Parts: sequence; structure tokens; C-alpha cells
Amino acid sequence: MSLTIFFEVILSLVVIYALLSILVSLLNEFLISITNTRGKVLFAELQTMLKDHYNLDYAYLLYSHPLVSELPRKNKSHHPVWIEASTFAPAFIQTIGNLAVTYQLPMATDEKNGTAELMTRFRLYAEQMQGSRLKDMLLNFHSVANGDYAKLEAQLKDWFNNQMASLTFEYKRKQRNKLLFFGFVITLFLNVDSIYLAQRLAKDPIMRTGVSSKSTAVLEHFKPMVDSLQAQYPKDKTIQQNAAKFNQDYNLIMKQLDSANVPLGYSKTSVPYVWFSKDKQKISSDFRKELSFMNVFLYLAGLAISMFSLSRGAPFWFELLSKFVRIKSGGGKS
Amino acid sequence: MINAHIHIFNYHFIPEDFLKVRLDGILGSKADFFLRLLSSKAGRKLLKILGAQRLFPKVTRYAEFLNVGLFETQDQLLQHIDKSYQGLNTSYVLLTLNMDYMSDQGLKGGPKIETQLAEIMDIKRRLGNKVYPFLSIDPRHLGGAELDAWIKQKWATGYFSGFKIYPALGFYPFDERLKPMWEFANANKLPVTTHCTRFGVNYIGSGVWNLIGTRPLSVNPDPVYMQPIYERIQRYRNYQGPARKDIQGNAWACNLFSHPSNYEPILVKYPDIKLCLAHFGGAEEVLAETLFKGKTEDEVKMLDNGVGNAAAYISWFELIKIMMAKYPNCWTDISYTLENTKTFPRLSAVMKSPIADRVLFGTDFFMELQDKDESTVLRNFLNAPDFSATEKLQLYEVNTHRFV
Repeated sequence: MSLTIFFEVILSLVVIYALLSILVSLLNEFLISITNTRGKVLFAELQTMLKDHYNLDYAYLLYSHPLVSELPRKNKSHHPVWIEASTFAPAFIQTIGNLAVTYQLPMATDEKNGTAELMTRFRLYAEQMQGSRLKDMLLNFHSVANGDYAKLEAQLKDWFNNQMASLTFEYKRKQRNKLLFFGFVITLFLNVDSIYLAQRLAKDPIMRTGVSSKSTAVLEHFKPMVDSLQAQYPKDKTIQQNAAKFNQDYNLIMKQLDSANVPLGYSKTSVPYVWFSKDKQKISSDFRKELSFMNVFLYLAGLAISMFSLSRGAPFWFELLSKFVRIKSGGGKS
Repeated sequence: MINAHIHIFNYHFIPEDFLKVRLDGILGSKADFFLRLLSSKAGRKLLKILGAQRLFPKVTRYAEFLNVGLFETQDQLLQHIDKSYQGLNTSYVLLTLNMDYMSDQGLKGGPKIETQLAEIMDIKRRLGNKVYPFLSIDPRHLGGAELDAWIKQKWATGYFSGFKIYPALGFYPFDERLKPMWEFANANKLPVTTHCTRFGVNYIGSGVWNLIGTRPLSVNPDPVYMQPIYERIQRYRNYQGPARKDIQGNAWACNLFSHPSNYEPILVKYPDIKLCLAHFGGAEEVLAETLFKGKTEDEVKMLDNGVGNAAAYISWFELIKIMMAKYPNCWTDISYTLENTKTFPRLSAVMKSPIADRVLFGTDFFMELQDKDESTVLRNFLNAPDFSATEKLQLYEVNTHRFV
């Protein structure tokens, strides 16, 4: 096999994986949107961040604050999927400050002067908390701010952003298993045998050219969708509307693959059906049509490769595809 | 109008293992996912498509109950119920509930009652007389001098109007550790609402028999009132039926905590409290003739704390009526009995008796959503020909105002 053919086979496989992995990522996003995984993970992270066994559940109280409780969400039982640092900081300061009024702490409310200034209330409540790490942190933040609200808010924003950076890493780690599952689902549903695909691509120049020539078009057409995966299933749409959207995306992707004659799915002439066909001899292809240990092993290995490949998700494959397209087009930077 | 019995605590204040135990471990760690799916808009639509509303009405109602219970804040639950009372200028008695000790894992995520109360206090601060919060007390949270100090601290805020206890969660109402609450309520002539039906939530941990004990210490040790209670406990301890061993058995055993007679020592010792034995024993006890229908001898024994004599059974509904006639500080409410319209004629008869001035209107939102939605319960009551306009007014206006 020449180097050019080898490059085209690899490029074609990347195009196929890129397209199919969109389906994997979309299914994952669909599940996330139904189960509100992001909202739950965010809430759990905030509970850890604001954990205080000796006082109150400040994450819960933060979520009761109008700045957070009025954030858009699917329904009343779903947490918001994301909170900006610029929302978190004032909402948290006000939550703590309001507790000083709720508990009627001395000097928090005064018949003569009304409610005390927010920074004062923040300090008053923090001071009366039972000893805890959170109490120390709140008093330190207040002390460093030295009465300057903007400084207190800036510190809280930094704290929040640092916590969320580790949350993103942890979240991605947790998504791996789900992507693996959906990789498995798509592989089985479309009968994606990577070894067979590679062999066919190597032997069939028309199919190889057909797929590899689509690389630029696929990149240009689908990259925006991959870049905004999170926004694919808007929270204001119903599950039925989002399911219809998924169906539309699925058809679009399958159209691209069908037009290049990529051998996906199940038919009487494809593995594994062909192994049990009575008219085996009439089938022109000599491709693994006999039921043997080696053929079964290669088929299962091909499925396993597909499953692991697709589970890397669309962003990975599109990043790789863009590199290949740059090489193909002469190595220029995009 | 005052609704004297509603709850707005959400799932956040329920122990993590509560739903799993309720589902007998069938769904295991996936219980949360399935319950959320069932309670979601899509889940409910799916049930509708499957025709579940007709075939399994209980399932669809339970889905609605879960949906409301999963609201993110207590404020949202309050707004939800208030939609059913538009134009009626309604106030609500908010019964807080400490569920931190109802299971072996209740305190796993730290005590939750203070957070629940902090949010309720904030709601009261904002809404004033739209709500009347009752402070939930559990002797395992605090007792004795600590409880005394805690109650006084909470009362100093001016946000609370009464107390709420829920003995089926694993304690006796006469528990000696509750003395500061009863004394404070008596000295200040305060209302105390207690759960008084065989059904509802109960202690789900493994140590129910330790909690039951043999001769629990009482705020009023007078043997005239305590001896029958001790005998009932002993009788049920001696009973070796099948319910003794499984978790479901807890529900039957916890009747020992909720039994109406447990309040006699309290009613005698604290004449100035207003003690509401809520639910009037429950709709099942109001319609007691159906209570033992089709039950096995073991089930009858479980239900009747080991006695097992259906013919001699005095329902909790009848017991409460007797106690109300005997003790002027004994009240009741008709929450979660209103949901069953068959109870109306009997409740109506009560409203024509001398104890009518101590019966309160309440709905037990959002618990009653398991059977009927709030609007239906309210509409059924307001349109019921069984009650005269004066009786209705007495239930939701006159009596409730005197109570809170």
C-alpha cells in the first residue's frame, strides 16, 4: 500500500468516526438534558465548596436566592445548568447578609436606621457562625476586602472560578463511561466494524476518494454543531422537540455517509448475517463470508475499535480532522 | 381563610435512603433517576400515552406528588399551593418537619433542619401573616436544657406560631426530653400540631424496637394514664407476627408512637396548650368499618397493636372524638381526610356536635397529592352539600384563627 493510499484510508476513517461520533455526543447531550446531569453536578460541587457541617447548607440557600432561583431551567425541579461567577458572588454575599436579618442579629436591623449595610451584615452573620473552615474563609474574605464590596465580590469570583475549573475536569472524567456506552450503542446499531471499513477503504478507490474528499465539507458543515454541543438541546424545548431535532441531525449525518457508500448497517450480504446465509455462494463479495474463528474474532475486534474510537466524542475527532485537512491542503495554518 | 395544615419542605430535607427504602430496594442506586424520570414532564406524558392514568391512577398521582416534592425551593412549593387559592385570601400554617433522625443514615449529609428553618424564617420575614410557621421538634435533635434554649432562641425571632411533632418518626409525644416544649407551649398558650394517623411516613431505620422500649419515661408519669400505654407496648412486643422482622413492619410498629391515647398524659398535665391531633385519625379510621375488610388475622393484629379483635376495635376517629369531648385543650384537623369525600357525612356530623369549635380546615399539601390535587380537594370541600356555609366558615376561618 502506497503512502498516499494509507493517508487516504486514515483520513476516511477519521471522517467516518467524526460523523458517527457526533451521534454519540448528541445522544450523550440528549441524556444530559433529560437528566439534568450538569445541574446536579454543579449543585453537588457547590455543596462541597460551601460545606459546613456545623452551620447551614449554604449551597441550598444560595439556590433559593432569586438571582439563582430565577435562572432559566427546564422546570422547577431542575437545577440551573450553569451559574456565572458574576451571579454567584453577589447572590452568595446577599444570602449570607440576609441571614443576619433573618436571625435578627444585633445591629443587623435597627428600628432607627433600618437594615444595616450589606458588608456589615455579611460580617455580622459570619462572626456568629459556629467555628468552621467556611466561617474562617468568610471572615478572611471580609477582612481582606476591608469594607470594599467590589474586593469581596472579586475574591468570591476567583474562589468560584478555581472550584469550577476542577469541576470541569471531574465532569469530563465522569462523562467517559456514558460516552463509552453510547459508542457501544451506535457501533451495534450501525454495525460499525472498523477493521472491515479499513479493509474496504484500502481495496475500494471509489469509496476511499468519495469519503476522503468530503473531509473539508464535513469539517466546515458540522464543526459549528460540534462547537456548540451543549446548546443543541435547548432547555426551553420539550423532549419531543429535542428528539425530533436529533432525528433531523441523524438523517443529515447518515446522508453524508450513504452518499459515499460507506458500508454501515445490517444486510443479508454483510457480516454477521452473511455467515448464516444459505445463498452464500451467490454473494459476489469474498469478504469474510465464511463463519470461522478468525472472522468472528476480527469482527468483534472491529466493533471494539469502533466503540472505543467513537467514545472519544465529536470534539476529539473534529480536532483531529482539522489537523488532517490542514496537512492535506499543504500544511497551512487555518 | 387559613389552611391549618400544609407542608412545603422539599426532597432536600428527606434522608437520602428514604425513597430507596420506600421502594423496598427494587430500584437500588437508580431509584433517584427513575423517580425523577417518572416525575418529569416527559415521564408523566409517557404515563398518559401508556394509558396509565386510567389503568394505574395511583402511579400518575404519585408522579405528580414526586414532581412537586422535587421542587428546588420551599418558596416554589408555597407558590404552587397558592395558585389553588386564588381570590380566597388564604394564609397557611407551615408545618416544618425534622426528618434528620427518621433513618439510620439521616445525618449522612449533616443535619438539615436548621437549613429548612432558615428558609422558612426568610419566607415568614418576607410574607408576614400570609404564613404561620410551626417549629418542628424531635427529642433526638435536642432535649432538656438544650431544647429549652433552642426554642427560646427561635421564639425570640417572632417568626414561629406553634410547634409541630411527628411521633411516627421514632419517638413518643410524652417523651420526657420534650418537657421544655410542652412547658413553653403551655406557659404561652401555644398550638401544637401532631401527626395522628396510622399512615404517612414513619421511622425507617433498623432500631425501631430500641426506640419503642418497654417503659419509656414520660413528662407525666401518672400511672392512670401511662399504665394503659405500657400495656399496649408490651402487648405489641409480645406479638410475634411476621411484621416484626421486615422494614414494612416499622410502619405498624410506629403506630405505638402515634396512638391517640399517648396524648392523654399531656392533655391532663398541660391544660393551656392547644393540641391538634391532626387528620382526625385518618380517612381509613373515619370509615373504620372498612378497615378490617379482607384482612388476615395477622394483619388485624398488626393494625391493632397486637390485640386482633376487630369486633371490639375503637377507631382512632372515635378515640379522638372521645378525647376532644373530655379535654377542652384537644383539637383536630380534617387534613388528608377531606381527600376522601365518603368521610364528609361523618365529618359533617362532628360539625353539629359540641366539639365543632375545635375542628380545623387543612389539606395536608403536598402529601395529599398522592391521592388528589389541591384544587380538587378544595373544590370538593367548598362545594360539599354535607357542610353548611356556617360550618365551612367555622372550619376554615373561625376555628383556625382561634388556633393560630
